[in-house]
Amino acid sequence: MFKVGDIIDDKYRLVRLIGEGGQGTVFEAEDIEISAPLAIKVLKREMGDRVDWVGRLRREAHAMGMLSGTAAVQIYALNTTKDGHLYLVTELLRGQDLEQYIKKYAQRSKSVPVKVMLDVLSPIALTLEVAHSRGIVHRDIKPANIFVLDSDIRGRVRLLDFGMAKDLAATTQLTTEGFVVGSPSYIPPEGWYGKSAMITHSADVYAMGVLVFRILSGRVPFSGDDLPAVVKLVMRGARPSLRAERPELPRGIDAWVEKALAVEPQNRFASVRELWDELISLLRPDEF
Amino acid sequence: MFQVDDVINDQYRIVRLIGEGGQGTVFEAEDLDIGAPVAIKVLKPEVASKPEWVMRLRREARAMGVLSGTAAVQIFGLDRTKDGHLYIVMELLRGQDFDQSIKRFESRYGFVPIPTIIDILSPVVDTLEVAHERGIIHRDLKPANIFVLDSVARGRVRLLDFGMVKDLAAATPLTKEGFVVGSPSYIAPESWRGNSALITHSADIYSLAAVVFRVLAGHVPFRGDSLLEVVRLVTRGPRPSLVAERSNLPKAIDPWISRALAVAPEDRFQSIREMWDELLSILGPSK
Repeated sequence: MFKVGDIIDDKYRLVRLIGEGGQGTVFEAEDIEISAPLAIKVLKREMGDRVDWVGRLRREAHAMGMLSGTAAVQIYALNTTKDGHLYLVTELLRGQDLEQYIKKYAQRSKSVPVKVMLDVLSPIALTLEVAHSRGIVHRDIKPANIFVLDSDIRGRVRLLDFGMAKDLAATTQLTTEGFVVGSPSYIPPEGWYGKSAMITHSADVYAMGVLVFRILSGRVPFSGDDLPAVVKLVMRGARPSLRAERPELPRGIDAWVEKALAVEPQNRFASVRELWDELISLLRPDEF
Repeated sequence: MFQVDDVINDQYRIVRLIGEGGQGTVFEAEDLDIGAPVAIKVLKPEVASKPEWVMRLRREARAMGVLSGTAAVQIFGLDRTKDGHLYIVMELLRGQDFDQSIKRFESRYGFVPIPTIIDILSPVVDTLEVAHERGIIHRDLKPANIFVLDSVARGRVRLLDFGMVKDLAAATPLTKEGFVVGSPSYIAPESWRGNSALITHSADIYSLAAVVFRVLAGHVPFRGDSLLEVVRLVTRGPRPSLVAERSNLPKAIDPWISRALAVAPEDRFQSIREMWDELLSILGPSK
């Protein structure tokens, strides 16, 4: 449908393929008239005509549009080619995702400094706060969806992929190919029931808790030999101690983890802001 | 040309007027397709069809495009209305310009704290460095063209207004209405000769130094009763001492000022980076 070298709408030249996801393909492109680098996301050929995926791309664009000015990827426009294909124009990002970024520490057998974790996640917390206040739940917060930029001149990180944003048609996540695979660790207990109605902003609160745990300890809070074993721990297992992994952390951190990862949404922090403020006051008590 | 609630190309609804510059008007608008707030810049009706102004808007758009990813205002696109008028779609900024922000700091603390100065100007330096590498000279750097954002999620500041970028047709700034007024204090000496060929990236170096002087001293480097008097001081007067105004500043700041504000471009720092690094080493580990 689209390939490198194509010019879309006499305006955007596709420069190279950045990546392919479940349904979409992302290209680096150039706005020819103003020499601006940008990224273009299109649906894959087999998805391009399916109403549900077109609707989803539109929803993703809308979520990004409403979050303009936050650390969500900035959308420039949602356009339609002359032959009717929808495509998303966004800022081009240079850097690496958080998964790769923290791997570098692990390779040198070092743990991620608390300050680095705070710098990277602070804009994400801020962005989720704005998203929730506007009725948007991200639902797929994980290191691969957080992008650490090479330059911090426009902020340090971006939150990627609003393709799973809340009001998607619900299906059991275990059976939706491409969603669970690779990141079941970030799905809250209520996510496994496969009922979209149960998913609130608290799912993002839980995922933030997992992220903090993962970055500071070097591992996800629940791991098992297979997916059912992981799900069992997520739903019923004891919440692990972060302090056992990082003894230099303050005592209160384990209670924080318990609350962030609580099985019942109503037992978690009521908001990402509350979760984050509590974490800051634990980790940098001198400033408060 | 546009009014509030007009919808451009079935896509952008004009929400409010943000401001009017020399020949352009900037509106806040909403991208109806995606619910996104944007800013839209159009030419004023009286110049909207004049080729030189259309060319200038295009040049501005291109400068912003080339600087994507820096602290320059991010352009989303350059489009045309159905009747052929060009408009720039760009990010909407929330915050205040550095001019206003300086005044707030000064009324609260007397001076803008040095770490704040460094935080705010550092991305401007990074951006000018990239601009100069790519052959773009801003030419109108001043506090009012530095915008301090309310949220730091996407960085602290933006550099505004590439409408004066270098390869503009030269005219004597003194005689061009709307250019000199209000900000002659930041214009390099060579600019007053009205010969565009004399303007190099060194003009931005001078202007940044004038901004640094302004925030450290609490006033612009050259003050006079009339514009002519200011121009005389800028082009021939002795370079002022910052230490004389604030004795607690390191002594090395005065030679830095003399060099950064030198009358002849060849006597200034060679690059914006060299100038900035030198300033940071003088102001010490305050960052």
